[in-house]
Amino acid sequence: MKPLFYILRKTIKNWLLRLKREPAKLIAYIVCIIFFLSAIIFGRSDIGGKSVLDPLLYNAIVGAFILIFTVPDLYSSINNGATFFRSADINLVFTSPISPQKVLIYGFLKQIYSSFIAVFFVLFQGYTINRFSNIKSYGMGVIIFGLFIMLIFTSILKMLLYSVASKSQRNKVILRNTFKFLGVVIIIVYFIELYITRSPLKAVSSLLNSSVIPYIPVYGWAREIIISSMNGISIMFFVYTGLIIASGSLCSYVVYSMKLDYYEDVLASTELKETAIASMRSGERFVQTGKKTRVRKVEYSKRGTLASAIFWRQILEYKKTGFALINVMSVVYAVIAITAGLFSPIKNLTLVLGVMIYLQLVFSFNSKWQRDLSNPYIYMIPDHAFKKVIYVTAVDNFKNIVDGSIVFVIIGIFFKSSILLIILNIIAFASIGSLFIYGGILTRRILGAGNNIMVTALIRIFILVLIIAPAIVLLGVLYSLANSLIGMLIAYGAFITYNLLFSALILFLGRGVFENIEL
Amino acid sequence: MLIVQNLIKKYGKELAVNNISFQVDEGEIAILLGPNGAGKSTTIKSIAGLLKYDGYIEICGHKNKTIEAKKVFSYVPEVSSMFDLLTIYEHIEYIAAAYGIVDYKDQAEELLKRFDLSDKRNKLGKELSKGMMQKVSICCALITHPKVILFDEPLMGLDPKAIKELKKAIVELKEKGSSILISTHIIDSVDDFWDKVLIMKNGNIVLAGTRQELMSRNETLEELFFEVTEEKE
Repeated sequence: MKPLFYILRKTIKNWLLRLKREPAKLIAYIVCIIFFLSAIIFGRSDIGGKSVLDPLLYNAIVGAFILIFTVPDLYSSINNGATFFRSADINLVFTSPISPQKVLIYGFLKQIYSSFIAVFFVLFQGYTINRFSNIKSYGMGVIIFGLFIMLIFTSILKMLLYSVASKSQRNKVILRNTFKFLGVVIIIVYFIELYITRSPLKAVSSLLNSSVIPYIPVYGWAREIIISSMNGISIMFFVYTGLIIASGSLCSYVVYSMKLDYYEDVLASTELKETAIASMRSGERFVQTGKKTRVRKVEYSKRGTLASAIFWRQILEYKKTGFALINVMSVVYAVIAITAGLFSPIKNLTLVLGVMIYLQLVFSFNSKWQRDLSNPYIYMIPDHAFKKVIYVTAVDNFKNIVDGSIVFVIIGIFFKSSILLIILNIIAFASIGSLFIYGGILTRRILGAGNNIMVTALIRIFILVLIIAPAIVLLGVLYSLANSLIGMLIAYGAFITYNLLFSALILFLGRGVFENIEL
Repeated sequence: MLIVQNLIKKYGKELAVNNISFQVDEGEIAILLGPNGAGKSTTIKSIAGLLKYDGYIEICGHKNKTIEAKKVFSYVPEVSSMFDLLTIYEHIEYIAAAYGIVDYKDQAEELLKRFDLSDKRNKLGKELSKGMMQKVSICCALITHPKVILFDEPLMGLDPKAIKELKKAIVELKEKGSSILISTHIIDSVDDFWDKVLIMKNGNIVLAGTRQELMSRNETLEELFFEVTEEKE
């Protein structure tokens, strides 16, 4: 194990030294830490505005969170294996005279780092959690502890699942079918609850508050640990912690004593991981390779010329994977819209606009313009830089109009909203979308491509939030003051004007992007 | 013609290219040699306009980042990158459209045939191997009839037939009067067709000269390379 610990030790040491050499990154980390610490501190001191969190709702949220973040991960580990290795590990560690078990432990130790990072992001929810008076003062600490211990166990379980699956095809099928069986059981129980409660939301809540959950090994226990942030720490908290540690140790022992030959499978999954990382770096959406890509046969008839060729190429790409600008993402939006239309307790389109803006912020990292900027061709096209910016972003702008129309028309019909309000929301959504696009280009010009995906992403989110914050505040304040149609028109008008004006201004500032940024 | 004057490129505090100047005339093949980390790729990327730099770079009488310059030069990067959802042929069609080239179909067919891509023309960018991507990248560069062409390690990943065809294509470009700059660290691969050599080390050009000038020294290119790049004991 000594050489493996050497790699880990040196990696940490060199990471720290790099921070010393690149103070900008260090500052970014410090800003992030201050950001979440202040969220926790100010969240706690804001006693006056505190509200009470419904324990049933809290149980359901924690349960859903655990389900969403562990089940897909565990299921994929059956096929993709222990994805905590990088290609350097394969080339230099797998080929060295070290036993596969030790290599697996090394991979596991590396995974702990990833778990730390994942928990770190939860810390940003500190403010939201501390807003509730029935969350204990040490609640955040308990949540972090629960999540951390659960994520570490998940890593071990992934190793075990993969080790068992890699032994034979039969094992793989059995494990997959077990997951499917459990999935079917959950769905059946859900429908029984639905039949009893006659409400989809109540059925979910009832399912996730089942008295059986505390008896479900590890994940049920982890939920109980996290719930202690509301119920307080009791003896059971320590019992559950002990049980999880014991289960983790048992799984580790089983993995360690198995005769393992997993290198070949890890090779393929690591290649996938490297491709995913490379895609993330260049802002591309990662599509699992290895399978033949299914695309529609489309005639590349309209090609444009000079900078407009970028626009028509992007249209061609969309046509290949969907119908014009309607693709999988549009279907996702449509499903969200139908679900919100059917089940949302508050029938307010402006609230939907708020949620859509949040989703746009998340998905702004997966836009066409960003993928184009990682390719040298666009820089070399002999046309004006300004035209290139316009054409490379045009499709994303149109896509926002299409997606906005899908969401607001569907929800508008369900909410029985006026046509005027639906149109205003579509324009508002598209206008803030353009602010995201040109704000993104501006941050790209300021930050460059960035080698550190996470730091660059955090700074970019920070800048984007800074740019859109006045627009949101403007809409929020004017909308809350508006009690007539004219007032609402003024609120939306001001919001849209701000977005378009600032988009134009940022576009003007970022127009030289192709002359001033580095590939 | 390509003119590079007082080119300086820094990555943070690190000096990657240190005030270099050179020129590649019409119908001339210049090779940029040097050990790893010498600054070859940085020089090529600066000329291609992909990096910010200090100094002056001129392509056929125009500054390298102008539209006029971009119309007449092409670049084959060291690591090719393709559009995932475009086929090989659509890549060529896209570049033709982006450069405003109308009559390209015959030449596109010729290039596909030359680089054994005819039967793979409908393969998507994301389905290509590294070598195939490199071939497509070369086809995209050649379809624009460049007056100046920059190759960054062009032979990496190519099969023997493609290497042979690329060498032939380079000589044809030279005969048509194009200025060609090839960055490489494999001396053997370019030994038979270079006109000018620029050897870089630690961001500096440590040796520059034409074939005629260097022939008088009665040394092979490899011997010259080691003489100027190896540390003196």
